[in-house]
Parts: sequence; structure tokens; C-alpha cells
Amino acid sequence: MLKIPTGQADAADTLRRPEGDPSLFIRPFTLPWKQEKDKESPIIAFRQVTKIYPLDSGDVTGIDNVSLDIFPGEFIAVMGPSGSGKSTLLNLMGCLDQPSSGEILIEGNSVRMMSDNQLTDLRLELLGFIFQYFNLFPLFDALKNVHYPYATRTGRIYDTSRAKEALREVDLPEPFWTHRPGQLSGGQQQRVAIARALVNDPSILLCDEPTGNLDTHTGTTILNLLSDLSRREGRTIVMVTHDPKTAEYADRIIRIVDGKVAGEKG
Amino acid sequence: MNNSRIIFSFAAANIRLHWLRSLLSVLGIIIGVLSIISMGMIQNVSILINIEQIEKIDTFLVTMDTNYAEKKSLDLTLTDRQIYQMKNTVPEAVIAPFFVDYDDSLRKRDEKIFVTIYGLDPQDMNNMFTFQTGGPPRSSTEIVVGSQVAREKNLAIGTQINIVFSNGEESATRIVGILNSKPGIWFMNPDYAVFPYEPWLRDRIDKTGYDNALVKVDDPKDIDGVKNKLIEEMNRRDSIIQVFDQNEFRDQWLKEMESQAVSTTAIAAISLVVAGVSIFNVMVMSVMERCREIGVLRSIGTRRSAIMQMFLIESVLLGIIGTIIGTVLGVMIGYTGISLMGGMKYFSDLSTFICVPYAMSFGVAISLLSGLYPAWKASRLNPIEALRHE
Ligand SMILES: Nc1ncnc2c1ncn2[C@@H]1O[C@H](COP(=O)(O)OP(=O)(O)OP(=O)(O)O)[C@@H](O)[C@H]1O
Ligand SMILES: [Mg+2]
Repeated sequence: MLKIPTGQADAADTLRRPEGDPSLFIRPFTLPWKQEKDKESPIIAFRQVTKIYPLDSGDVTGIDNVSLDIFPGEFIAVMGPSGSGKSTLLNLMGCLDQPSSGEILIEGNSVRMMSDNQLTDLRLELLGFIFQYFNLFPLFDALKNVHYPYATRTGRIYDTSRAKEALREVDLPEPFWTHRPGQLSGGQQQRVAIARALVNDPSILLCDEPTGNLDTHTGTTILNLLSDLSRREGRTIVMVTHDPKTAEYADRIIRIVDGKVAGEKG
Repeated sequence: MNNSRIIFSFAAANIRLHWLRSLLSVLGIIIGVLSIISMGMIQNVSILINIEQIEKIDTFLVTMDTNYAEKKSLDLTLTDRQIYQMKNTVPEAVIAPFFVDYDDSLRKRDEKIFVTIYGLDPQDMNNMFTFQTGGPPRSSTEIVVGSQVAREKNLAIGTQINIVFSNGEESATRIVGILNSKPGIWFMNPDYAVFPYEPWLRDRIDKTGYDNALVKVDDPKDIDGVKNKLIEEMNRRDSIIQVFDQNEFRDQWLKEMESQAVSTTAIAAISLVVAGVSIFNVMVMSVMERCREIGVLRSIGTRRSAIMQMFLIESVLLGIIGTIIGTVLGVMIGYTGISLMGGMKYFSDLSTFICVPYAMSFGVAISLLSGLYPAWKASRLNPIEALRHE
């Protein structure tokens, strides 16, 4: 199902990633622009992006003329009141939706002209999603949940070594790997969800209220995990939250009000 | 690269989770496949049994060619001379000429009995038929009846039945013989006939010549040879005689079976279409329930085509499960039916199982067809909307 450019795919399949060295990880879907990580140019850039939802009762503006830059390795918190457009912003970053106008650049490349399959592959390769309600596959155990995106990308359906590595990365004890989501606590589920987001070694993690459904203590451990992923592994994280305490973990806070960037702090 | 195994495990896990609903939805497929297979098998064996019966038939019928009779303005009567000529042509066969008494009827006490009255020579009767009890009539007061009419009208040796002539006169007879059933003489049906003493009846109704002649051979395989010899000899100058044999009977009967097969297949096909609708329903439900899951799958990088496959596999899996259950049950029912029919020797005949692959592919095809739209719908879901779904 996943179409890979020939030649490159074979090379990628043979050039296995040495354990523990993310920089040598070669993706089958080799994005043409993905070369040396450039700390100077933004990994995500919005240029006058507007998203309008056309409804029968009139158009609703999700976000309005937003321009922003997010640089590699940044940990960003997006804050704002309910209905201000935080999720809309995150969905656009996640290539789940196309803007009504303006331009979105991921690693310097516009997503405007991309087909649905290209956007899907980009999500698979480059982005990791973490949701408020975990959104694990209820019928699969933790390991299978984490393994799924990796198997989808590589076709290596029996090679769960990478999934196990990801589960270790999020500190989920091994006895829980065979548990289904229903048999795990909220914090454990969110760890599994983070491992699933990490399994394909994405550059960008997008989190919509990742602690919104967790108690304070568990939330703190998850936030520590995220900030660890950012500081230690240099992953770019964009996290939507309405909680100022949560936002403190970020390097920079983007405030959204009525679909507009109202201010930045960081 | 192929990760259809993962896609497959999604589909299978979902069927396992909703096993009761899945089972209900495949009920239609089970019934459809089951009925095609069991009916197909039973029908096939009944055809084989009947063909065997037909091939055992050792008798055919000769009449005067209707065109010839018209041309010569004759009634359709075979003369003594013609019978004599036929007997000389095929001395190896038994030729039993007979006539039909169309005008007169029968009465047992107050009850009218509507069966055909034949005039057949007592000697020929012995040659053509066998008797359950008794023997041929030897005088005007004696009569022989066919097996079926004897059973239905409760007739036995000694029972009195009266021949009622068209002018109102009656003649009392007593049953002296009951024939064994002789199937396959569809042009005469001796099972549903009575045979008074021929010389007396001929005299009484003033009959000359014969309406038809039965021709019986020792071995059914010889029928064609005898038939051809007769036609060649008798119709040398003009087409005088006409022959009706079991082939005609078989053709007509097979045609009947065929139309019967068409209607049972149609019934089974309708049940399969209904099955398709129920699978369609379950799949639409499944798509709606798993909206959120589809949203997650899409957001973490599952292509539309994979989502489509996932649901197609689910509905085809349902179809395969239903088809397998239906096939097992269908063969079991077919087996039972065939053994009740006494056709076990035809059970293992290859033609008995021809309906199996046919029904199986039909069952699977229906499930694939009914899964197409829901699967397409699922693959078209907007991931954001789908994620929002609760
Ligand atoms: N699919 C949609 N169709 C129509 N309007 C939408 C849609 N998605 C969002 N909106 C509208 O766009 C605006 C921004 O919504 P969004 O979900 O981005 O807000 P939010 O900041 O995430 O809010 P919350 O904190 O409650 O999650 C709201 O007015 C919302 O009603
Ligand atoms: Mg939101």
C-alpha cells in the first residue's frame, strides 16, 4: 500500500538503522528536502494562513491570517480560550487539512499541492500525533498499537524490535506490553500513545491536550517525558493546552485569540 | 511492500469483537449457500436416479404416422397386416398391439372410476407385464387392473367393477389380476388402466385393427437397433409408422427438471441478495462505530486505499465464514436428503458437487459487492471529522 520510490526504497531497506542512533535512521520515504537538520530555517512555517469552515449558517473562521515559524527542536505550547482555533492550527500543522488561503511549509516545502497520499505518507514519516483521549486501537495490545505505524511504513510486520525500543523509551514496563488499552491506566495509555507517535522517529510531535485527561501527577510524568524527548533527542514538539502550568514546560508559548496569534512568550 | 496482514488483523479482530452481530449478518449467506448446495445435490441425484430408470425402459410405442393417415384419409389404425409385417421384421422383440376404448367408463358400486380401458391380447399381456396377483382375463366377466388404480380405488382380486357402455348398457366383471407397476411407458401408463378380455371387448365395441403397438426388447440397449429396423422396413415407400421412445420422455422430463432447477436457484439467489443487504447493513454500522478509529488510522499515516481494504476484507471474511458454514450444512442436508431418496450410490458422483464451487463463489462475491460501498465510504472520511466523532 505504501508506495515508495524505487531504488531508494531498496537502499533504505538494506541500510538498517543501527540501534540507538536516530540520526542514521533512513526513511524509505526519503523526502527530497530532508537533508541536514538546519537549526536556522523553520521546520514548520505558516505564511498568512487562514482556515475558514463554510457552514450553512455562514462561514466560521478557524484561524485568521496566521504567520509563524517553529524551529527544529523547539518545544512550543499553544494556548488560548476554547474555540480560539488551537486545534485548527494543530490540524493544519499535522497535514490533516488544507488551509483556505496562505501557505504552510513543512521543512521548507509547501504542502499545498500535495495529494492525499503524499500528505498521508508525510504524516507517517515526519509527524507523530498524541491525543487527549489517547486514541489507541482498543482491540490491539500495547505492543501492536505501537508497532502498527512502523509496520505500515516498513512492511516489516514481524519485526517488533523498534516498537519495543519505543516502549522502553517511554518507560512502559514490559509486563504491560501485552495489555490492551482497556487494561491500562490513563498514564500508561498515554505512554503507549507517545511510543506509537515515536515509533517512526518523527521530527515533529503534535499533541492536543496530552494531559487533559490525566491527573496532575500522571500529567507531570508525561510532560517530563515530552520535555525529555525535546531536550535530549531534539524533537520538535507542538502542544496545545489551556493550562498555564502545563505550558511552563515549553520553550515558547504561542497565544491564540479568535483565530489570531495574540502574542508569544519564550 | 505488503502489510495487508496488519489490515487483515484489524478486520479479523473486529469480527471477533462483534461475533454475535457478525454471525447474524452471515445468516443470510449461510442460508443462501446451504440451499443452493443442498438443493443442487439432491436435484442432481434425483436426475441421475431418473436417468437410470429411463435407461432401464425396454419398451417403446409405434403408431401410424398422422401425416400418412391424413393423406390416405385413414383413421390412425394399424392393420393386422402391418402388425404381422412388424413381427416379421423384428422377431427378436415382443410386439403387443392394443386399442383404446375411449367411449366407455367404469363403475365400482356407486363410484365412477375414471381410467383408460385398453384392449390388449391376454397372451401379449403376459409378455409385456408381470402380475402382482392373478393373471390375464379368460372371459368377458374377467378384468385386469393396473397397480396404481388398484391401490387408489381399493381393488382386489374378486372385486366387481362394471363397464358402462356409452349406450347405457352395463357389463359386470370381476378382477382376476393386478399388474405390477411398469414405469416409463408414459405413452400408455398401464398403472392407471384396466384390461378387459380383449376378444370380447373388440366384439362389443365393434373395433377393427389397433391404435398402437408396444414393442418390448430384451435389453434396453437394443431399443435403437430395433426401432431403426422397424422404421426402415415399414417406412420404405411411405412414412407409415411413427415411433415414440424413452428419449422423448427423457427430453421432456429433463426440460421439466431444468425449469425446476432454475426456480430453486432463483429462490437461493434471492436469499443471497438479502444476505448481501444484511452484510451491507453491518458494514455501514461498523464504519460508523469505528469512525474515530478510522480518524486515528488516517492521522497516523494510513492511506485511503488501506482503509478501503480493511473494510473489504472484513465483509469478505464475513462472506467466507458464512459460505463455509453454509457449505458444511448444505452438504450435510444434501447427504441426508440423498440417503432418504436411496441415491447414495450417486452421492460421490462429481456432478453432485458441481453446485458447491458455484454456491461458494456466489456467497463470497455477494459479500464483496455489499462491502464495496461501506468500504469506500470509510476511506473517504475526513480524518478530522472522524477524530471528533464520539
Ligand atoms: N470542522 C469544523 N466545522 C465548522 N467549524 C469548525 C470546525 N472545526 C472548528 N470549527 C470552528 O472553528 C473555531 C476554532 O475551533 P477549534 O476547534 O480550533 O478551537 P480550539 O481552540 O481547539 O477549542 P477547544 O479549546 O475548545 O478545543 C471554532 O469556532 C469552531 O467552532
Ligand atoms: Mg481543541
